[in-house]
Amino acid sequence: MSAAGDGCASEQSVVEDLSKVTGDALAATSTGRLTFALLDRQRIGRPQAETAFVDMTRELSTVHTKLTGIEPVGPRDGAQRDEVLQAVQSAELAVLGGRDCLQEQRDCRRARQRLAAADRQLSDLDRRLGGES
Amino acid sequence: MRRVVAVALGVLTAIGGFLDIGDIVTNGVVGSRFGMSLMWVVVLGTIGICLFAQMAGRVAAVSGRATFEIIRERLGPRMALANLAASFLINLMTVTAEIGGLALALQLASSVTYLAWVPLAALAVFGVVWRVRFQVLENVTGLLGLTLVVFAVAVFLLSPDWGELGRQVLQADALRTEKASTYWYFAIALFGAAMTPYEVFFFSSGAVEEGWTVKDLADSRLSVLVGFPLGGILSLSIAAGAAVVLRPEGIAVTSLSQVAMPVALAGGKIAVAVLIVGVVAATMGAALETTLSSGYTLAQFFGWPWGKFRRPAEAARFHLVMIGCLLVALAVLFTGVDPVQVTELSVVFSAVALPLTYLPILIVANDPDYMGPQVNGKVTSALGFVFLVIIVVASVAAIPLLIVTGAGQ
Repeated sequence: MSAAGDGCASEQSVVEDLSKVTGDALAATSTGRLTFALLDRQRIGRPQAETAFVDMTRELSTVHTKLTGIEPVGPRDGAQRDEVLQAVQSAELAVLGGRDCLQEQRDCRRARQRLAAADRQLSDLDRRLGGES
Repeated sequence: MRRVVAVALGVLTAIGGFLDIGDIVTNGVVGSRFGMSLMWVVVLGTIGICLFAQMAGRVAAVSGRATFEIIRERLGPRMALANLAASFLINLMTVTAEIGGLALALQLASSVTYLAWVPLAALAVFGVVWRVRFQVLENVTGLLGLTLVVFAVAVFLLSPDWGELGRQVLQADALRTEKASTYWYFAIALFGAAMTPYEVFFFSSGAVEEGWTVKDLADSRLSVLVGFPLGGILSLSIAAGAAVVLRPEGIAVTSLSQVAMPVALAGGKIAVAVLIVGVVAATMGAALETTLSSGYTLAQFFGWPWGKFRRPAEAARFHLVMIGCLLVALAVLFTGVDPVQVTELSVVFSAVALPLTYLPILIVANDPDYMGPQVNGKVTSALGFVFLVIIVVASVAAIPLLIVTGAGQ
């Protein structure tokens, strides 16, 4: 994923790329929240919840790699990319926290809060970028 | 009574054996991204595999020869070698995907990383291929695979808006959020998942292994024409569950754990346990079939002794090919490549290779000198030609769409 070419067309493609990775990251945090919801309702066991968080950790790692491959063409999409990167990093920490608290059988309250916050941040970004692309 | 039981068993194993990791993952992805708007492809693919399997089985029963023996005879050694190379590589990719899928299912049950399960899965596949009789192998995995009916049960328990699901089938509203190129890419992936070539290699080789004659054709026709469509309904159920639960949350399936979530929401831990049994059985069955298919294709082409009915010492090269394929699959999976991505690519490449095996079977099945009274009737022949066109179009479009869409990204 990279933007090249003249100004307007390139900015548009950068925004589209950022929107796509934001959507992928949001899907991962949404999966994490659904996993906790299923666990709360005893619809799944701990092994299935752990597996889901391990999968989402890997997914967010892929998202992070895609994001670092997006080259901004101007200061505006440079700032947008940094914002998305910060949100994705928060999501990664939150999902890692979820994975760890389940594997170590600790209290997952903090991980849930972080996940909810990351989810909100990504939702907000997704709406804004979706409106621009 | 015995015949009724045998026929019932054939139908049940056809249902339970219909799905593999390619169907499970691809239908989950498609349901979560496109809703039900690609389900026409599942219907088309199911009709196609019924047609293809029926023709291949009839050819095997009449001639006593399996698919690749026919291909070499009809295309000549050079063309058939190119055919063999492509089919073998894609079959190898599918072996890798199925072993990976089996390991992912075991990870879902235990939370132990799938990489730890990969060598055990490969060993189990080889052990069963080596020691277990063909009939037992087919029946056990097929019957246990029936537990995947839990996907269909889950859809009913979720009490979806049936009108909305029906509307999604008839309208491609997913094109508001997805590009047309991505839509058609996944249409080809879904088609490839339904019509994977290994199913026909296995089906026709099995017909020879079990000594089918023309008398067995009626039973096999029933198994295919009843069992496969019912298996196709399970494919639709996987997509429907993803469409109802995951799509509204903006979750596009990228893992097996996500595919299980609609079942978990609907039926809880017991349903998830049943699902895991079904996925293990389906992927194990498919891993066995693809491993055997790798041996069948090479041995049949080169004229080596082949078949489970032969002792390993009598068909050493056949068995060595299978061992080699399992080792290659292990090596690929140990690179850390995502088994789900291998699966998604394997179904697309299956669509690419499909004309290579479909065309020779269609030609032979239409040949009255070869087939006698078992030759294709006018309707089957016409349908066969229509599907040839569809298969060639899908095959030609697959790679360009793979590149343009970044493998559906």
